[in-house]
Amino acid sequence: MTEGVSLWDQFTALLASPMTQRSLLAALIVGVAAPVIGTYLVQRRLSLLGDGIGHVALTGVALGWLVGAATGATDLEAYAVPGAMIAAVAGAIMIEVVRGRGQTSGDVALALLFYGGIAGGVVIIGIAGGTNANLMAYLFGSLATVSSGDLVVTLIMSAGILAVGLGLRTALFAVCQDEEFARSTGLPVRAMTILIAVVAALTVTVAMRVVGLLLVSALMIVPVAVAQLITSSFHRTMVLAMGIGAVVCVTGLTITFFHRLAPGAMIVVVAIGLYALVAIVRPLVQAPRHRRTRTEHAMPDDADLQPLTQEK
Amino acid sequence: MSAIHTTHLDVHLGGAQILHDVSMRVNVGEVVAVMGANGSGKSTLLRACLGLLPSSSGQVHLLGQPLGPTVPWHKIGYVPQRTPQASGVPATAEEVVRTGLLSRRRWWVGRSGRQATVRALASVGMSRRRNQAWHELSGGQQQRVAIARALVRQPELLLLDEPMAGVDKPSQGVFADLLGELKAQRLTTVVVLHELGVLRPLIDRAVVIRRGRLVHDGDPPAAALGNDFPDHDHLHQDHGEYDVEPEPHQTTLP
Repeated sequence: MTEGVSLWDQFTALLASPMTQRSLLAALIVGVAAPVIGTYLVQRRLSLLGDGIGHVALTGVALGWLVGAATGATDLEAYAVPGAMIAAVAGAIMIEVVRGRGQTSGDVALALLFYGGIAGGVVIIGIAGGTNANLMAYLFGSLATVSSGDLVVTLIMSAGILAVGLGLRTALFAVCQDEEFARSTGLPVRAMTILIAVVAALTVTVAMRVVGLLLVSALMIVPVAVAQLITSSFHRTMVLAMGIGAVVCVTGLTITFFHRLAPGAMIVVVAIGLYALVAIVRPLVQAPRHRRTRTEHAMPDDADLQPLTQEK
Repeated sequence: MSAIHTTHLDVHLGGAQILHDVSMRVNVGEVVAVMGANGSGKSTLLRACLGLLPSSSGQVHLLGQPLGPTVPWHKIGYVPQRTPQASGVPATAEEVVRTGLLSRRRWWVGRSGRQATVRALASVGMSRRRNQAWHELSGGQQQRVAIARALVRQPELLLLDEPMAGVDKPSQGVFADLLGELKAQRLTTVVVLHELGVLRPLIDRAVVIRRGRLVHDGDPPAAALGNDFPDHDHLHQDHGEYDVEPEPHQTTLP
């Protein structure tokens, strides 16, 4: 009991620190925003796209360093995030174009981008006079060092991700659910798939701070994977995934306030733990629902058929 | 004005020529069946008509307009060939149908779309299942949802690609009734089929494609004559399983 109280005291003391507040806020915002675009990626069966973009973004980080070194900037890190963003967007568009061209060579092209991204990043950071250690913060996240400026950037970018992801959700859902049909409606499907890729790239850049490039995709995908275990509609999956993203980010980060563990990895472990828990508990809870479904099927298929009234 | 008019249409896919010099016309108010064996190019013809596949030569006019942005796409309802969906994010029947309200200019469907969506689902006898996940529906039910998605647009031209493939008997009946209703409303309909089956009384005209060429354009083959089709045996070799395919849900009935 006394230990619980002291933990709480510890926590409230931590909450008073602006550093903790900033990192919690960043984790919360990213936790809400990342699953939005993740829902579309899972729907398009592109769960690994975020990973690919993350790899490419590492080259962008290193290029940012290189630019910083070349221009003699005092803070070599200043160009790292813009570099990551530009590389991520370029990589995402490239992946989408390769996918659109033809399916056969697309797989190999993706592999080239993945490994080229990591290798390029490591080589270029060397050229820029840095070491692999400088890349660690980007590979595994750096929640502890979120500045007020970082927080503002995170907030603006997350707002953009949410605006596109929620505002265009009917159209983006249509494109992801049945591309062929979406094209027949006249929707600009090509532009929308590229838009999804670009917003995914922005999400990668934002989430890089929280969980790092190597785990960035997990934050986009795992909350969706958990949500779809217990929902039957796209809309509810997205909303629930946003909530789960927020909860696992804040929970994972909070745990690391008490134990010296890497926040990014902890968040992902919490998310995957939640997935395992839901996957185990779900059959027990949902058993009555399945029974009901079966009775429904015993009824005639077309019981509610009404005469068609189509206005012309 | 023809609903569809193709002239000397050639389509190449992956280096192979799939369609050779196909010229055909679908008049407004007609119900036309596009028939042929598996791989004959009948689905390719439908998809090329919609601009979903590029044509290497020839022209397509839809509702009087050459393929492109001037085509009134909002007046066209398309029911693609049903492809079994692996596990993605779940979506309800209603969510799927609602996407039928989108168009080149309309990227958002608000509450206003709800009534139209419910009505379209009712027209295919699926209103009670509107909140059920698409992947939990049987093949025939999924097909009916896809038809509702095309009908919610209130199309003037309806194109269906193999709507009977893998469809259970109750859904086949619902679909034939529905097509009869639509025919009575003079909806122009093009339906890709490998057999006329229950739809035979509704078909005004049949276009037969064999190895990418149009080999017949006229009266639908008579019921008995249906077996005279040169490709008939071939059809059954390819599609015979449809006749015996059990309804996945019905196998679990007591």
